[in-house]
Amino acid sequence: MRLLYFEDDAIDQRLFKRACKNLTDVEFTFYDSCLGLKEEYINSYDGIIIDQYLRDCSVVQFQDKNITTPMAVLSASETLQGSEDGFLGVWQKPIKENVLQDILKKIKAIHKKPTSVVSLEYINDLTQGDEAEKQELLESIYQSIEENNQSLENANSLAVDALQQCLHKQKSKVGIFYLEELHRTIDQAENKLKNGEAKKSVLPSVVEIVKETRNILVDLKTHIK
Amino acid sequence: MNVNKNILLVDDDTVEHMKVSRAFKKLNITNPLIHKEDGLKAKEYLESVDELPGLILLDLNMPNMNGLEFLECVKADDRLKVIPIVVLTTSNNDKDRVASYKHSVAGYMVKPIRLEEYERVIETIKQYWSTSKIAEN
Repeated sequence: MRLLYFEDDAIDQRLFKRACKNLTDVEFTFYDSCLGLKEEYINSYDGIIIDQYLRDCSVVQFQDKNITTPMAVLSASETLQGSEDGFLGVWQKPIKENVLQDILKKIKAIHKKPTSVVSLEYINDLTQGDEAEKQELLESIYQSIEENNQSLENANSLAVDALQQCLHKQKSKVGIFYLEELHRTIDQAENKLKNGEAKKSVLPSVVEIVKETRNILVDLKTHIK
Repeated sequence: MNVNKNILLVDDDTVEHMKVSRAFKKLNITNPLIHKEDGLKAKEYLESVDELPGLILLDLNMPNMNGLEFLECVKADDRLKVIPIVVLTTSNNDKDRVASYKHSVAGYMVKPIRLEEYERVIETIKQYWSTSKIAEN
């Protein structure tokens, strides 16, 4: 995740850097002013953490720009000032690691895409504008996912090897639609079985996989003419 | 890759065949791509041809004869065992990886989800096998 951090106070900057020193999946770009930054540059980031009163620009002025990136405001004031309208919220400085984690969670939640929405980017690239081929491919994948899902619905009665095979096939298919979270869940369940864990240890995940896959099938159906 | 030798893809998934073909096209890999849907068909193909492929891209999870069973057959055959085999699979399981290397595979690549990363994997295989000298029969 790429974030912008605006703060013109050197001590607050240092405290902030200390709060984020254990974060591994976040990349911060620091600025002490927002002057001269183009909106499209700012909007290319996943989130903004900004001091309420920068020397050359208050948050309200900043908000007048056409900024679509979610913005968390930091304030030194104990009585929080400024409108929360359009902000993720206002947090009091100095920022601590657990508070920063909360802000990051809020930003992540905004960017988290529903896993049941399929992306046709891969299929489009593979079929290169050949609509008939695309439809044929979609239908065949749909059928395969549906068949696998039916087998997974009966996971209880499947032998471990058969369940593992089903999960494996489903994993390949959902990957085509960039359903990465579901792909990861299936991969974990498949690996558990491969590593000799009992079938019952993956059954709760299989229930989730089946449920999520049903949503995917509904969405996928809308792309099939 | 090496001269213009055939490359054999062993994978039961037709979409994977499309993905590899697409990546070959994008990367200007001109070697003919032969596709077989499982280990058994691939083994039959290898036994029936005079000129062996320069490289085999092998999936592990397949019906009839899976990738590890195929490796066992090929590595036990004096004529076939010189063909470099790169495993191309969605399995990132340690057991599969170890078992594949025990059968002297030339590489183990986990198929990435994203197309651009997939192409990068094929590009890496291409670069290595364009430079490396293979054992000619």
